[in-house]
Amino acid sequence: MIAGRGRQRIRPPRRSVAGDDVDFEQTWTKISAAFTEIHTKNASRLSYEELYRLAYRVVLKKKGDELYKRVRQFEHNWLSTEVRSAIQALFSPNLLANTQGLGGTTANERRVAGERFLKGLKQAWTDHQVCMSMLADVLMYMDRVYCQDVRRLSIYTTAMLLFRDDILNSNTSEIDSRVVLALLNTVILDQIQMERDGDVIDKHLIKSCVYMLESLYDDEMESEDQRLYNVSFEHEFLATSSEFYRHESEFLLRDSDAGAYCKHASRRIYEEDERCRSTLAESTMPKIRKVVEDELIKNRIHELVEMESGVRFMIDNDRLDELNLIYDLNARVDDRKTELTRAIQKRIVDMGTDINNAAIAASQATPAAPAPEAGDKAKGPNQEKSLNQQTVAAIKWVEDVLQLKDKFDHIWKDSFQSDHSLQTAVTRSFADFINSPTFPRSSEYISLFIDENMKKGIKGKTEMEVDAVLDKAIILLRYVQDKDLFERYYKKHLCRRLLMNKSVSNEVEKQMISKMKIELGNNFTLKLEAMFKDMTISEELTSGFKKHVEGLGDKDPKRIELGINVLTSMTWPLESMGSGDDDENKRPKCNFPMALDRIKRGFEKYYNEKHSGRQLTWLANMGSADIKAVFPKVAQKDGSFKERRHDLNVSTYGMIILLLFNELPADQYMTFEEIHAQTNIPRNDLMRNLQSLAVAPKTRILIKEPMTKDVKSTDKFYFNEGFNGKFVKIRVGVVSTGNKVESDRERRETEKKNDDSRGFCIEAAVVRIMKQRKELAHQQLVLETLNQLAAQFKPEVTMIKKRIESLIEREYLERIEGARVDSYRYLA
Amino acid sequence: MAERKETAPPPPSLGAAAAGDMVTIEVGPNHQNYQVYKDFLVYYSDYFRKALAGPWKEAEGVVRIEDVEPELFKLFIYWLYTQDVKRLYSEDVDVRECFKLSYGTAASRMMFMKLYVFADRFSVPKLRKAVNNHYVTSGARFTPWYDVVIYAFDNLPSAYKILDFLVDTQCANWSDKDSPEETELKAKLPHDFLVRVMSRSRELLRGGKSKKIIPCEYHEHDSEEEKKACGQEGK
Repeated sequence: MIAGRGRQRIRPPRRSVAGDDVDFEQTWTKISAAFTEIHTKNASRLSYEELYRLAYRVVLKKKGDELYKRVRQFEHNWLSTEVRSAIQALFSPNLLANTQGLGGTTANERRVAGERFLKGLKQAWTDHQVCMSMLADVLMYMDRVYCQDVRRLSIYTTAMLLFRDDILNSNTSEIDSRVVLALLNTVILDQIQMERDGDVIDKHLIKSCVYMLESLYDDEMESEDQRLYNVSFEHEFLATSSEFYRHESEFLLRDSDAGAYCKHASRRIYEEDERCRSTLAESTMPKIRKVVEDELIKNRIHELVEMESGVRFMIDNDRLDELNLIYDLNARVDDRKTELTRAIQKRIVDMGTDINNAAIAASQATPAAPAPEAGDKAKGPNQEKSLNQQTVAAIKWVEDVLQLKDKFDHIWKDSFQSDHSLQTAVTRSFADFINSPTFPRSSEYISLFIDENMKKGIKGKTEMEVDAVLDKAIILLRYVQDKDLFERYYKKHLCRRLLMNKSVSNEVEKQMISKMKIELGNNFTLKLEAMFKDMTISEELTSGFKKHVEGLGDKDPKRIELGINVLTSMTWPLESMGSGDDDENKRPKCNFPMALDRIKRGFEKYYNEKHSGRQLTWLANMGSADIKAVFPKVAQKDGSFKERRHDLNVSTYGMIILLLFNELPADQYMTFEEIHAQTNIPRNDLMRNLQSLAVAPKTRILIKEPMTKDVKSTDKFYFNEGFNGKFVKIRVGVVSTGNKVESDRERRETEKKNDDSRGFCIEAAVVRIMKQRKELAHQQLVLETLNQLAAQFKPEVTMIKKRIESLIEREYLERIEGARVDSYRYLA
Repeated sequence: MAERKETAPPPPSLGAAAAGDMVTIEVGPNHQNYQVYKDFLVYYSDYFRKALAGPWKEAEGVVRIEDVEPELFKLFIYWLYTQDVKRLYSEDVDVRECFKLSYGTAASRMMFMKLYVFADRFSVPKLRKAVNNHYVTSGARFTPWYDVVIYAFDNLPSAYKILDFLVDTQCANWSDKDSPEETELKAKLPHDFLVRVMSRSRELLRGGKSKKIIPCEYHEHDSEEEKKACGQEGK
């Protein structure tokens, strides 16, 4: 407990710790003598305790102010006499000459002189720091008590500022008004320039000087951007660098190729980064990088990309490394990589257009050749041939586009770091040339490509390979804008494949459909799937009918077997299955011989039992028949007589024609007109069938008179009893059954049909939109319609306008009178 | 010139310090020898850190401080290893004996003031704070001893708060019943002290301020949070 004012007590020592009044001058003499020792590096003889005690007492006796001033004065004197003269001793003529921009000194001389100066300055600075830190230690009590009380800078800080004022900002000589700091900047810049030119310089030395500039400030606020480094050096550094790189880029663009330029620019950027790290300050890095990027890239990228050895050259020669460099450079200065993107897009469209033009040229090359030949004579086979050539051109087009795609995928992945925006650009460019208005055939070509692969291409390929082929087709399909047109072609080609059993694999067909389903949605494949369904049902029908017939009674050896495909008329593109030459819309009905007619009626009955109310239309032009033919004995080479049997595979029409000759005596003939009258086969089909039966040399089952290549209505036909086939089974081909490129006329027709169905789609979309919105401005309606149909095709605005007009006429819509903008109202 | 601010490293452990160097301190006019672990010295005292780190004579490992009483230095060493000023009263018989420490006696008050001046001079902030706070808390209700007043005003910068504390406790607690010894010392009271007592008295007379001494106001706090916590405690 506290004992209150107890008696036991000791006397305080009479002499206080700090002593009585100190004699300031005497003390200062001691202190300043010690400071001189410190500056001359003789501190080891001094006692810290003694010096500290002296200063402590002075401050305690309220003479801190005086002490502070004296120390400051002491340092000022020291710097402006001893140190300054030491620095001035470093100025050699070479050094000064250089800073005045005079020539006549070699780089090496300048470097040596510069380094000597830097070394001396650095030494002076380091010494100053060491000494001042010792002084500050001794004067610690003054800093803590006096400087804090009256808010003075610490003595150390003050002394550093003195260095700035008395050394760096002092004139280089009596007669030269430039200050040491300016000289320092120039020397450092000169050294850096030497390094850029390939010399080796003392980075460490420069870094020390940079440290000095970084720790000194231009003003008293000591904010980061007021460091001498920023205020004085960095500014000049950036300016001179900018100029240097401007000249360098000019020179390089003139004297080297784009690849070398890119490499050089990358190296320069790296070098400057490295320089900031090792020689200057890291805070300069973003600034100098910007300077280099601006001068070497930003201001030059356009020229660079467009150079003869620029992007185009790199693409054409697969310079992936260089493309990567140029990508990297462009990305540095432009997030969107505008220049590179532009060049890439242009190249894609150019190359794509070349492919398009090649395809057009290939498809037109042959029709031009046979033109001079006389009349109709050569037309048939030649046209045939040209169509084949077109098909080849189509497939080549697809392959070429895929190859181009491969090439750019490769570049994109390896050189452009799978950059997202470039991918978008590449995709857009592919879509551009594939959907180019000057090349309207991409949909058809892609479908043909699939057709070709389905029929032949995938034979003997592994599942993986087949998958790859299908994927390729899908890739291209992605680019196609008019998906509806593609659907039309695909349906047509698929129809032929299915009905004529041309597909290598049903599985693969279905795989393709499911891929398209994923890519284009359910709607797109609905009808295609329905086609497959029809095929399955037809198989069941055929076998069902066969059983049904067997159940009817005794087996008739002469009974005709029927294989049938029942096709839903809305699903199948039946119009495109008729011979293209038919102009009349009504389906031709031909007369079947009795034997056939019976089985036809039999099936109709059977079918109607299963599905009542459905009407079957027979498409004789689509079918084929296997018939057994017996040719009478004729003399063989060895003199013997032998009956010959052949299995003939002919079209349904072919069969009907041949059956006519069954009932005809061998020496009788029928004219074209007679055949036509009896069978009612459309003239064109008839002509083509007769051509393959009577003209084609290997399947000449009939003899035509006169023997010419073309069939005329006055020609006479005989049965060729002397027919001699090499094989038992003979296939009588009929012209134009495969899937080929359409002729221009066909295509126009297809487009017209396509436009018609587009009209319906547009109307449906417009009605859907209006039903929901009730009232809508014209512009809005057009926009929404475009949006709704984007997945299928891109309708022309004029077409939409027409459809809207038509809907108004039919009173689905009406114009809103007096609306500020054109608007419509939905009429329920 | 940004002075480098070092984040405080953790205090040395005795084990680590024991493995390190010892420093010899020769104290007082008779050069009384003390061996102290260098790690402890340089951690708690900026003075010793600088004295021993620089290229001075002291770099040899001997520091000679002639104008400090050996007993006082002993107290410093005691604190250095225990970090607890209150235990100075109780535990070490040797220390207690030599300063006749017990609460409130003139001798112990004087000793603490000397320790404060020591901590200030040799830059031992932690000790300075501990002594100050202990001194204030235990002396708030008493008139200061005049010899302590004389010593403190002679050896501390006049802006120090502990001097205000002396002035304010004088004004708050003084009654004119000074003992003969004290009366004798009155003649030697520092001029500065008397002037400050005068103006403080004037303030109190005007009734502007409360006479009551709130110790927390005279404490040294490292942070606002600490001050707040201390103020709460005082209530």
